Order: sequence, then C-alpha cells, then structure tokens
Amino acid sequence: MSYGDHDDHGHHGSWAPIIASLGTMIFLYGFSEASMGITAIGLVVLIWGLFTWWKGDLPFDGSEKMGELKSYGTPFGGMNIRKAGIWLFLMSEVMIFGSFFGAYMRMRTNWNTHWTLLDKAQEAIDSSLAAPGATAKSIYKECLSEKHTPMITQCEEATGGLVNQTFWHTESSTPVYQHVAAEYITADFMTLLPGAINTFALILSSFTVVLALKAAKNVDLDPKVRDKKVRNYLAMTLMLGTLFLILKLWEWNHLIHDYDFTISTLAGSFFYVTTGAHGVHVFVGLVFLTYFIYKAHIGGWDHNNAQSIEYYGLYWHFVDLAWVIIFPAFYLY
Amino acid sequence: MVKGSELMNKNKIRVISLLFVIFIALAATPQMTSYPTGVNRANGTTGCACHSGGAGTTTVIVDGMPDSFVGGTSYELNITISNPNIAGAELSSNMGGFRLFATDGTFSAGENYTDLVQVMDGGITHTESGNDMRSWVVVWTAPDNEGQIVDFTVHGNAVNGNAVGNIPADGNSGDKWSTFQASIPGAAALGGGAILIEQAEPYEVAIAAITFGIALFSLMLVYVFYRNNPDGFNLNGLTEWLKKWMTTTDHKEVGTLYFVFSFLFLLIGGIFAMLFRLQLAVADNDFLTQDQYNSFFTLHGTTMIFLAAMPMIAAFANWIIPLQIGAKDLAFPRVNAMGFWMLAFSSVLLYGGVMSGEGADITWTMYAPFSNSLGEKGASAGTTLFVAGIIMLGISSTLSGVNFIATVMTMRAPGVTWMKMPLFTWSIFVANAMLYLSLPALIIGTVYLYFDRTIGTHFYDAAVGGDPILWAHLFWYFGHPEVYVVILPAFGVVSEVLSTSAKRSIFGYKSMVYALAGIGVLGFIVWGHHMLTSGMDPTFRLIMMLTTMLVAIPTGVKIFNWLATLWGGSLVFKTHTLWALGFLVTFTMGGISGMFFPVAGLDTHFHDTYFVVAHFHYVLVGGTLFGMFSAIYYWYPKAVGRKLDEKLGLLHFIITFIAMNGTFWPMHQLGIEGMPRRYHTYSVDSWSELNSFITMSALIMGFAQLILTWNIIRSYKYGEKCGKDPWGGWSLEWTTTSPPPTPSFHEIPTQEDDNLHHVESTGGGMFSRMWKGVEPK
Ligand code: HEM
Ligand SMILES: [Cu+2]
Repeated sequence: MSYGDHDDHGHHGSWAPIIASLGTMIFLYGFSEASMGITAIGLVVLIWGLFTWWKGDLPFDGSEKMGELKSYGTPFGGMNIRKAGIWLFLMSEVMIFGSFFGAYMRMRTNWNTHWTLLDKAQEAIDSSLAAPGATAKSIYKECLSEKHTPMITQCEEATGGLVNQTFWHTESSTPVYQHVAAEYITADFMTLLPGAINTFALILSSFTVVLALKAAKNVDLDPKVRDKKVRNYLAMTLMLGTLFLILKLWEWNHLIHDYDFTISTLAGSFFYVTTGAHGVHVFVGLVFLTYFIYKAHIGGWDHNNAQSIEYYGLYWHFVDLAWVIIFPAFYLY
Repeated sequence: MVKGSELMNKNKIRVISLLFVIFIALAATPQMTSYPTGVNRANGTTGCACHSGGAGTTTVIVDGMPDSFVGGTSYELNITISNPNIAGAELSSNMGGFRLFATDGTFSAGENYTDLVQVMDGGITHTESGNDMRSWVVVWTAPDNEGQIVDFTVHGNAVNGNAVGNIPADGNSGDKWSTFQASIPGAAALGGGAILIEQAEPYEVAIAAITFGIALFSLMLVYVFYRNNPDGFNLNGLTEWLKKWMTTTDHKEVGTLYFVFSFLFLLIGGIFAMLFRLQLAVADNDFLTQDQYNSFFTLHGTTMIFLAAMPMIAAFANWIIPLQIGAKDLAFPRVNAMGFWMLAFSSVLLYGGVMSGEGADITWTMYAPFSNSLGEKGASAGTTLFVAGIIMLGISSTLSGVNFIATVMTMRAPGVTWMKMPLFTWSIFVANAMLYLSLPALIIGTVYLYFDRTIGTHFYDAAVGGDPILWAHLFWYFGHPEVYVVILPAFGVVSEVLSTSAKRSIFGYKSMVYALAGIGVLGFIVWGHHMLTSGMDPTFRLIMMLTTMLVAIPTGVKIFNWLATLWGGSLVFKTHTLWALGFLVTFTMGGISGMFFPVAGLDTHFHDTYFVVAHFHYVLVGGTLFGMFSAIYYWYPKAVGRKLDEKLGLLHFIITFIAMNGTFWPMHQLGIEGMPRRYHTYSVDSWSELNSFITMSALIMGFAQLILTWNIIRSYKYGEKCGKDPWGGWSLEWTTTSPPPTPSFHEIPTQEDDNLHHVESTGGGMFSRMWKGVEPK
C-alpha cells in the first residue's frame, strides 16, 4: 500500500506559520499597551502570514491539483482528512460559544447568589427575624423581581436585615442587573429590526454557500458558466455577511448613544463581548470568502477541489447556528 | 542556477528581517516603566544618636516609594521595622523609633499619625507617644525639580522596652537599629539614565541568568550548526539552516523544536524556583521582596506547566505518534508548525514585564478579583501582557490538539486498530481530546480578563455586580482537565517503557484503555474540588467531592496493571526503566495525598497550604516530569541514532529521585502545621529547619539537571550507536531506521500483534509465561 502520487505533499517548508504567529504576538502586544500603531502592524503581519499560506494554494503552477489525503480505519474511513479536521475544529468552537453562553446564563439567573439567598432566608426564619408565616421560598420571591433583578429594600426588610446591598456587592441601593440589552432592543421595533434582518441574512447566506458548492461540483456545466456561477453565489454570501456586520455596528451605535448601554456595565460586558466574538467569526469568514471569490474569478474551482467550499460552508453554517442561539438569548430574553 | 542563488538571497533577507523584528520586539518589551515598590535593607552601621544600642538583625522596610517621583506630588510612605529577636507584639510601650531624611522635598505626618510623628530638622521622626509602635505612615511631598535624584536615609530602631520604669540611660541596652537607604529619581532624571541598582538585586540575578542562558543557547545553536557540517560554516549556510528550522513542517523537526524550547524553559523555570526557595529558606528572610516573590512564583508555575511540561509532551507526541501509528506525518503539518510558533512567541508576552520588574504576579491560576484589578492595589503592569500570552497559548494548544486527534483518528496504518493502538498513542489521544474541549473555557475566561484589564468591561468586578467566582469556574473547568493533560502522556510513556523493559506486553491492555477513557470523561466533572472553600452551593460541593473520589478508581486500575506487568515479566534495568519505576513510587504518593482534598472538611484545613504544594509536585514532578525523563532516555536513540550515556543517566536518576523527595516530602508536614502557600515569608521560627532542608534539596535537584543537559549534548556526537530497535520494543516506531527518514514512511507499514513480538523475542507472550511456565530467553 502506498500514498500514490502525492507522496511528498506537505513537506516543503512554509513561512506562513512563523509569520502569522509573529503577527499575532505583535497584535496582542500593541493591544495590551494600547498602541494603535503596533496593533495595526501586528494585523498587517498576520494577514501577510495568511497570504503566504494561500499563495501555496493558488493555481499558478498546477501543484494544487494534487488529490486530498484520505482517511482510513474507523471511524472516518474513506472521508477526506481535512473534513474530519474541520468537524473536530467545530467541536472546539461549540465549546467556545458554550462558555460564552454558560457565563451569560450564570449572570442572568444569578446562579451564584441564589442558594445563599435561600440559605439566608432560612436563617431569617430560624432566628425569627422574618415576618411570621414567611417561608424561604416566599422571602426569596420578595428578594428578586421577575427579571432576577435584586429588590434590595424589600429583601432587607423580609430577612430582618440579614440580606442587604453588600450581599449583591453593590454600594448603592439601585439594583445591579436591571438593564439587559433585550429590554432596550425589544422595546422598540426599529431597534429590533436590524437583528431580525441579520438573522435572515445569515440564514440566506448559508444557502448561497450551498448553491456555490453545487455549481462548482456540477460537471455538466460549461467551465465559463460554472466559474461565473460560483463567483456570483460566493459574492452574494459576501454581501449578506457584510450587511450583517454593518447592521450590527449600526445597532451597537444605537444602543450606546441612544440608550447609554455601554460596555462598562455588567450586562453590557456580556452583550458586546459575546456578540462581538460572533462578529469576529463572521469577519474571519468574510476574509476567507474574499480569497475564495478571487479564486473563483480566475477559474480556480472545479469538481476536484470544490470540497474546500464545502468545508468553508461547514464553518459558515456553524457561525449561522451560533447566531440562531445568540439572537433569542441576547436580543429577546 | 541564477534562480537558486536569488532564492537564497531572498531567504537570507527574510531570515535576517524576521530575526530583526523578533529582536526589536524583545527589546521593546521591557520598556514598561517602574521598579517594584517596597525595598528591604538591613544592618547599617550608623544610626541615630539617641540610642546607643548596637547594629543588629533589625530590618527596616519602607513601602510605597515611587520608582520615580513627579514634582509636587505627595507620596505616602509606610515605615515598618521588625526584629525577630526583640519582641514587639507583647510590649505596649517603647517598641521602636525611626528617623527619616531626604535630600530634598518636605515631610508631613500621614493620616491619623499627626500625634505620632513630627517634622524635625528637615527630616521626620517619631514623637514621644509615637515610639509605642513599629510602623508609621508619613507623607513626602516631592520637590518641583524633577531632574534630580533624591536620596533617602532611614534609621530604624527595634527597642526592647527595658526603659520602662527604669533610669532612661539603662534603657538603651539590647536595642537594635539599622539603616536603610534608597534613591528616587525625578521623572526627568529617569531619561538621563539614572539606574536603581539597589532595588533590583534578585531581578538582576534572574535577568542575568536568563540572558546568559539565551546567549549560551544561541552559541550552542551555532555550534550544533558547525558540527553538522564544518565545511559549510558560513553566513549563507547559517541562514539556510535557520530558514530550514523556521519554515519546517516535518513532524520530527517540529518535535525537535518543541523539545529544545521546552528544555530551555524547564531550566529557566528551575532558576526561578531556586531563587524563591532561597527566599523561603529561613523565617523572616528578605532576599526577595514581596513583589519579586509574587512574580517569580507566578512565572515559575506558568512556565513549568505551559512552557515546559506541555511542550515537552508535544515534542514526544510530534516525534512518536506518526511513527507509532505508521503515518508519514501529522494530518496538518502546517497547522502543526503554527502551533509551535504560537507557543514560542507567546513566551515573549508571558515574560513581557519581567525585565522591568513588573512581571505578572497573579499566580498560574490568575484568580480574580486580584488579576483584573488595575492600579496601585491591583496586579502589576506586566499582567496584561501575561494574559495576552495565555490567550496565545490557548490558540496554540487548540491548533495542535485538533491536529493530533485528527491524525490518530484518520491515519492509523493497517493493524493499528483502536484496540491494538500503543498506549502512548492512546494517552496522547485522550489528553488532547480533553485539552481541546476544555481550553475554550480558559480562552473565554482570559478574554474576559483581558478585556477587564484593557477596554473596561466588568466581568469579574464585584463592585458593579461582576462575579469573581465565574473566573474560578472557567479556569478550573479547564484547569482540572489540564492536570490530566499533563499526566496522561506520562502514563503512556510508563506503559510503553515498563512493558518493553519487562519484555512482555502490558498487563490488562483493555482495562488500561478503558481507564484512560474513564479518566477522560470523569476529568470533566470534578473541577469544583479546587473551589471547595470558595463558598459555592453545598449540593454542588457534595457532587464534586464524590466525582473526585471516583477518579481514583481508574487511576488505581492503571497502577495495579503496571505492577502486574512487572510481576509477570523479567525486568531489564535501563535508565528509562528506573525513571518509570521512580514514577510508580512518587506518582502513587501524590495520588494518595490527592485523596485527602476532596473531603470538604479536610480541604478546609489543607486548602492553600504547603500540603497542596506537596501534592501537586508529587504528581507533576514525580509523575509528569519523571515520565518525560523516562521518555527522553527511551526515545533519544530513535531520534538521534545514538544512546544516552547510561552511567550519567543512573547518576542523574539517583540524585534527582532523592532530592525530589527531600524537597517535597517535608512540605506535607509544613502544610499540616499550617504554613500557607503563596506568601513571601513566614515568621514561625520552628518552620525554618524543614524549609532550609527543602531549599538545600531543591538546589541539588536543580543542579542535577545539568547532568542531563550535558548527557544530551555529549551523546549527540559521542553516544553509543544503535540500530532500529535498541530496547526490544514492539510498536511501529522501532521498525524504521534511527533516525527515521523523511517522510517517515514511504510505504504504509502493518503492525503485528504485540504478543507475537514478545513470543519471538522472549520465548513466550504474557499468557504462555504466566500460565504455562515458559521461562523468558
Ligand atoms: C487521585 C487523583 C487526584 C486527586 C483526588 C486530586 C485532588 C486534588 C484536589 C482536591 C486539589 C485541590 C486542593 C486545594 O487547593 O485545596 C488538587 C490540587 C492540585 N492537583 Fe490534584 N488530584 C489528583 C491528581 C492530580 C494529578 C494527576 C495532577 C497533575 C499531574 C494534579 C495536579 C494538581 C495541581 C497542579 C493542584 C494545585 C492547583 C492549584 O494551583 O491550586 N492532581 N488536587
Ligand atoms: Cu483538580
């Protein structure tokens, strides 16, 4: 058994890894030191690294036409190895968004203080500090509003002073969690609109990627027509993705300036960082897409290598899926 | 060949410019202001005139001195004197006094100290009622001229109080004073090159050691290059050679890069450890200041876990996994190289603040709410870079994790089925699966932390409702799987080494695999045992307590299987065998001490004491590091084609094993007595004895590693030559030449059954020997 014609594939060295890593370091260094200049240089070096990577892939000398490595053995026997890699990578992405989500839910449900609250309520009953007839559950209810926002004055009364604002780590008696993004967003149709459009834009863009893949794989098409179709479908995806980002920035701007909902509140921290991280995923997808469109433009896709569009599609679907979960959790709940 | 030389020129330019950029980056990093505050000096020879007591063991500490002053600004200075030999706490009056001068600026009393200190003759001193104490707060207002350096002199006196009710003249006897001096430059004088040597002493030791190490390391690189081909020794050849290493994607070469990197950082981490062990050798020591101590042990822990242990594991995984499963390389060679370079550059960020004395001081666990606090009371300035470095490490490990899992899942040669896969491959597989599924929690946690420190989010800031415990959850959700990430590969190595050395297949192969997988699953539901004392839900605490105890079962299964492997085999004592046996002893002890913690009641006592330090060093040094040492002796011949020297190996083993136990065993005792971890000093004199013993052992252990370093370097040229299979191993890496070709296999090999191999080589597989009584040949 032998690897066949692509025996030496992958053994010529590459500058891409070291350059991209260096770029990442400079970028983070600049960001840490709050220096726009250095951050920008880092970004440039990082992109230089990515281009170096892609250059090895572009169809200028025919070397890219080499077949893909196939997997053998259970569980992926016969599948392309790169596909397995993408799936594995997406699993770690699931954990990334899972962590965002878990941390957010912990904040929204006050998970960390609830059991101590019940504990304190019981203590208040046991030491007759609470009103006669009160149960731990009823005191608990008096302490929290519908939205799990602390009702500090009521709670202080109900527990005979056992629970006060220091319990929620707050200096003032204003509740801490009162304003989450959803309250502003759902209050006003015009604020909800961009998010809603975005959801459809992303779902639609997932569809256009599939169309591009289908066109690229279609051997019956004339190569000229095929290239054009692939390019146009990919360009549509790019446009939808760009629309998504523009609307998102517009919406952020609106929240910050019209509602004073900034990143320096707790809910704001969660909202901007989570949706921002999703936005970065979209952005990275668009950077890749630009390269894909360029490749389509010069006629680089056919049924032999169209699986790269498929793998890209897997990533893009995932970003889409993540949004479908983020949207209700951060915009509506 | 015009094209060829053109290419060469281009490469030369690339190499040089890349090196240049790295150099600039390195040079730019340290320029981040300030020296640590708080300075210690003791035992001057001139003091104040009012007391005649002799100079002695008194220590004067002035806290709050700026690194450079801004004209007109007021600085609050805390003056503290202490003397372990002159009781202070019991005395209510006449405990001490001080006299502070500065060459410029004005003094006034600190808040609440107006009756206790008084301005006198351009300086400041205590008042009559102010000598009933040993610490004072004064305010120094800096002069307007920032272009000068202001010198400070403090005389401190620890008074024994025998003047009370006595004739004052006699009251002087037995008092001990000492003097402390410091210079503070104005902001403008700093640029003029004012140097504060006095304050940075241990830093200088560390920096000198690291610089020296790097210089030595570069020299070694050039030497190795020279030895490879003495004739081709010129600049062109060197850039070509460097280019090869900087652009390589071959799994063996990337593995070598990982190894060299990890070894370098193992030594650097060791230097830090020895420095702060010196500080802890005796009670009330002042070799390191508190700030220095904090940042040294932070860097020690982080370096050892992320820059030494994990890269060394990655080194062997890179080298051995493709060989063991019969693949010609990893699934994604370029991604693999990227994983390494991400790691390499992250070290620059992690060490970012060290050179300027602002190294991160947030411990390897980076606990909020300290790590996210900025300013005077918060973590030091280098912390932001440090956190950025951790994020980069996360990227690096995710890349390589995906790569290894994909490789093992998709590239196994015929015969290497899941249930016949060598245990080292299994362990790497499970470890990486755990790693890349738990890392996201750390990445998100550090991203939150990073944003808290840079763009003003408030994830961990309790003052606005943020939640420091969230950090602990995110960190330990990663952190506990992480400890298995570093121990499982050592399990794999020991399994390979013991079965080869015992000349038989491993006992209970299947149960070994299930135990690994079981640990892999259980490892995800025990993280709360690190937070038992953090005030979390009692129900949750109970669950974590039980699941943690469950982990001991698969671990126990493995230990018994190893013992059974020895029992049924005929053991050959090579150096790697010794390390594996050493591992069995020390790791088991670490596992046993681990079993005390999950009991919440006991943990309340043990948590954050030296007992914990003893536990995790027994599992990390006695487990991971011993396992990796075993791997070095075991696979070095495969990589180099020459064996390491066995005599030096024996010496290395004996010294390290004894010194390791000498270092960490007494820590159990100290922990039980209540010595807390993460404090820069202690005042309990009775702890000094054990601590000095520990420090001595630690120094011995540290220097013993030079034997290994020398062995590795020497054997590269002069070691005993060896063939394909010097130890009698059965898995596929032993069927190819030493060193293996590139790509590692041209034809995909087929793996035979391990029992068959041992039947041929020893005259019986495990069953035939155990039950049919066949003697090994
Ligand atoms: C039988 C298996 C084990 C059990 C039951 C166990 C249990 C524990 C517990 C409960 C703690 C927390 C103690 C405290 O902070 O109060 C702890 C700490 C620690 N363990 Fe283990 N452990 C085991 C094995 C291991 C292994 C195999 C490793 C690594 C190779 C390890 C590394 C550590 C480390 C590094 C810490 C200290 C973390 C810190 O910095 O706070 N443990 N262990
Ligand atoms: Cu743990």
